[in-house]
Amino acid sequence: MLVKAADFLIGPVFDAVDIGLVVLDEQQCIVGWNEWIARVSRLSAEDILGKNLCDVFADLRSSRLPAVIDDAFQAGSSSILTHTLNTLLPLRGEDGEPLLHNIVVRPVVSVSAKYCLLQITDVTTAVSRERLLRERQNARYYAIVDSAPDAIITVDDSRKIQWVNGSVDDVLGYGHSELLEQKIDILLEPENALLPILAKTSVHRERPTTVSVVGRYRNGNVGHFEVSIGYWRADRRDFVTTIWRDVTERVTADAALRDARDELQKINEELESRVEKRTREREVALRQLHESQKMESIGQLTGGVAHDFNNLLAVVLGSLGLLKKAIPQDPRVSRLLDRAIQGAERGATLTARLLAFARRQELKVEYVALQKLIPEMLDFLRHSVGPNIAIHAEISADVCAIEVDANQLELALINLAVNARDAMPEGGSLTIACRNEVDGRAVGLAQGPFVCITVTDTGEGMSEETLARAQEPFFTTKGVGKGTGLGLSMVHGFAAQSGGAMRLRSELGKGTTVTLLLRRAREDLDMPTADAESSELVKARHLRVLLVDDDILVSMGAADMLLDLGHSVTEAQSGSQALKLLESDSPFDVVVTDYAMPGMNGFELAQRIKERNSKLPIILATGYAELPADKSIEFERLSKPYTAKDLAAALEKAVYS
Amino acid sequence: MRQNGTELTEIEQDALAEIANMGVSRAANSLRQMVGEQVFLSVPTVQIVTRQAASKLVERNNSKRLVAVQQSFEGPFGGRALLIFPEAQSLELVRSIVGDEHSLDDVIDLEQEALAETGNIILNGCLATIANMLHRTMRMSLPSIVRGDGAALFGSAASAEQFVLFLYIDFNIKKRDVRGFIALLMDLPSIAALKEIVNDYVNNIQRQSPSHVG
Amino acid sequence: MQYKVLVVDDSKLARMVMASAFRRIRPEWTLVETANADEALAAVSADKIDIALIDFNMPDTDGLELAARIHKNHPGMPVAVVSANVQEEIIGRARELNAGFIPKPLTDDALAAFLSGAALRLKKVAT
Repeated sequence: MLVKAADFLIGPVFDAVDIGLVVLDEQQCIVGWNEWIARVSRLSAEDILGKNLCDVFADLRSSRLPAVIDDAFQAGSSSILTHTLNTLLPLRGEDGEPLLHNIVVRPVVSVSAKYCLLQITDVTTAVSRERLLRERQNARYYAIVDSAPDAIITVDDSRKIQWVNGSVDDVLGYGHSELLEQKIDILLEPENALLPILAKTSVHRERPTTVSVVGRYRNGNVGHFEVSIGYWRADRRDFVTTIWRDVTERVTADAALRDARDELQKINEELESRVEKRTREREVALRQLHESQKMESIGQLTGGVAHDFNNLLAVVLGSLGLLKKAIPQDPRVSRLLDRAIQGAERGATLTARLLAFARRQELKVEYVALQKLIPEMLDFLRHSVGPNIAIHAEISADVCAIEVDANQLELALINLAVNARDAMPEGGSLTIACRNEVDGRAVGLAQGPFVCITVTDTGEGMSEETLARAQEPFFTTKGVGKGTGLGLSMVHGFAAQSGGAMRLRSELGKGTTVTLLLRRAREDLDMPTADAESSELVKARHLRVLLVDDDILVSMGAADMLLDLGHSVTEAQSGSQALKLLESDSPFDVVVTDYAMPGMNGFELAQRIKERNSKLPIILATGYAELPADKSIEFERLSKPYTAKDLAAALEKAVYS
Repeated sequence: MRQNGTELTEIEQDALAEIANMGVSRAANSLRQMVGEQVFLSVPTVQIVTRQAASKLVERNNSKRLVAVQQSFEGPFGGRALLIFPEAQSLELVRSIVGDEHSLDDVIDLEQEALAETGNIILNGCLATIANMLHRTMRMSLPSIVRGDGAALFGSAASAEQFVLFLYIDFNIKKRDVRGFIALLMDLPSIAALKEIVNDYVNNIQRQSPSHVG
Repeated sequence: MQYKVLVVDDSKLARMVMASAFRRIRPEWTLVETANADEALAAVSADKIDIALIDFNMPDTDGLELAARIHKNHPGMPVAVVSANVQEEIIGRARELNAGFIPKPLTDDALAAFLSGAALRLKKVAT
């Protein structure tokens, strides 16, 4: 059954649909008005039908609708008019609220005439759903943004704040609306890294970045912030989003940490330097201690050795002396004996000088005429250096006498000669020269006239290094078993002790010159008698001698000497034994006691004796110069090893003076 | 190249350009009412291209995300009319019509519909002008929104609509520049019909001014 | 009175339409056709143009600007802007220049109305 189109226009379907249907004729007059539109427009069909659309709804004249309806008739266009872009009909829903609607305009061609159909659709639900969705989305968005612990501030291209999130209060102290339309400058200290970035003109091309800025809270206090910057564009305008994180605590903590660390470092460095200094001091002190310990041990060593050696030499000397007396005057034998005695005596002096070096023994200072001493030594020197070395003496006739311990000088010269010999294994020449030096100051010494003794060899010489170390005790270049290394240091020590100096000059391959600068003798010193070696022994009257020595061998030797001198001897091996003997009724005229004895030493014995019998002369025989200076004054001292002559002199002095 | 009957002669080109311009002006008039400020629309060129070529042309500037308002039309010639924009620009267009300087998220509830209407205005302007100038009536559908790249917009290979009357279109609305395209997809018979109608029209006018010196 | 009318339009079709209408309305007058602003200005200075009809929508040329220039040099000349673009801004600007506005598509009535008005104005000036 064909249904005519006209039937539907006013038929039940027309009024049943859930959209508005309006039919217009070519004059834009309303020929169809369905139930739905009547309801929402509150205008019934009776009121409407036949009227021009724009007469009923005057506002429509200014809208697109009339033109669009025209187009539908003229061109057959179909059009849509949305509520967003157009203001349309005044329609209301059941709740009385405005009904949002779209209008679709369609040409309708029927057999007889042309019509235009308007379809009005309610979009309220769609709109509210959309709105709801957007609000929900916005709400979520706002929640996300407001829940951020950092402050989010958006500025436009003139640095005016357009938008802030809720956290600006917590972070900066500003209420939500207080910042809007203000320039972001109010949040920043004058010197900051943010403004220059914001000032850039082509901001929208920049990449997101983060800067550290010094900012200001609402209360005016200053804080440190890390601000991250993002760029975006909307509606053809550039915007910048800044996210502010307060890092003041961290910055101050960092600064404090840095300060503490710097402080610590400084303290550390100070500590280190102090430790270094102390270590150095300690090292120096240790070195010095070591040196002095070395010296002490050397001293002790040499002292010990020398002491024993002394004792042995004493025995040798004693026996040789006696032997000389006992043997008939055979010139050859005599010469041999003399030489032996000389050798032993030299050995004694050597050990004595050794001890002097180790213990700074008191020197026997005397007047020495070099013109005499050196020529006398030459023989011995020649023997010391061997036949390959030529010895020359250049002593200027006017050279003055010097004040030194003669034995020590001899010993020094022997040392130098031996060194020179060792430096000339292929042979060479040795020259000893003496001259006056006008003033010590010229050679870096004290004021006053000096005498200069030079010992020059033509040997290998020394390198600068060796030269530097030459005066060290035990330093030797001579190889094992060949040199004690004590030579030069001994010479140096001798020179210094004598108030002079030793100078070294050497050149590798050329030779060495040792210069001794010694003080000229004062005029008032007594000239010793020319005769140094008198074999005349002063025969003293017979003495009863108590000889105390723990060493039997030495005791024997000394006893022989005493006997030879015409005295009678009683020997004791210890202090206590001696005291016992003294208590017995045999009287003694003099006590000769060794110093170094176990149990009671000689000094203690002497004191004990003195207590009992203050008049008894006591002689302390010391080979080991250990006596403290003050204690030896009251007792006569006899240096071991001693000759018979020394013994006689001591006895004389002790008993008769 | 073999004349396949789809190329425009000079006078045809001239005619279609003039018609297109008038159509777009008409659309501009309609938009002006909504916008409240002068709307600037112009059509620099008109050409007939293949579908593949059109597909590439719309993707210039590497914009593969395209939005089109589409209407089909029937009459002496039929086909699809598309108003095509890169996606980002499409909403710019709508917002430029609706919004002012400030953000307008809350103003547009049904953005999609607004876009459809805007496209509808423009396409109708063109189609209606064509119809009027050529003294023909046509039937046009309501607008729908289509998204995709050039290939998606211009249809599958199987489609009969092989030819595209292609227009570049420049908008300037409220100081925003928007550039888009209008494409009328037609099959060969339709193109031929259109050309015939255009030529008739031209001839009519020429006939009315015999002394006319072109 | 015979007048010389200048038509400026880049579209050949539009010029044809104009010419066609012109023939119908004022067959005795002369029509000078130009396709762009340069040609138009040349024609205005060379020939004695009495009335100008200018298409608004031309590439590289703002029809209203051209109208303004012609008006400056020839203040008495009746000028009309012809355009499908009937936005009020356009019409307003035309009015400011004391120019008429003829909408496209061109109707004989619209053209006739303007030409009559123009002739009247020219006659007034002459006397």
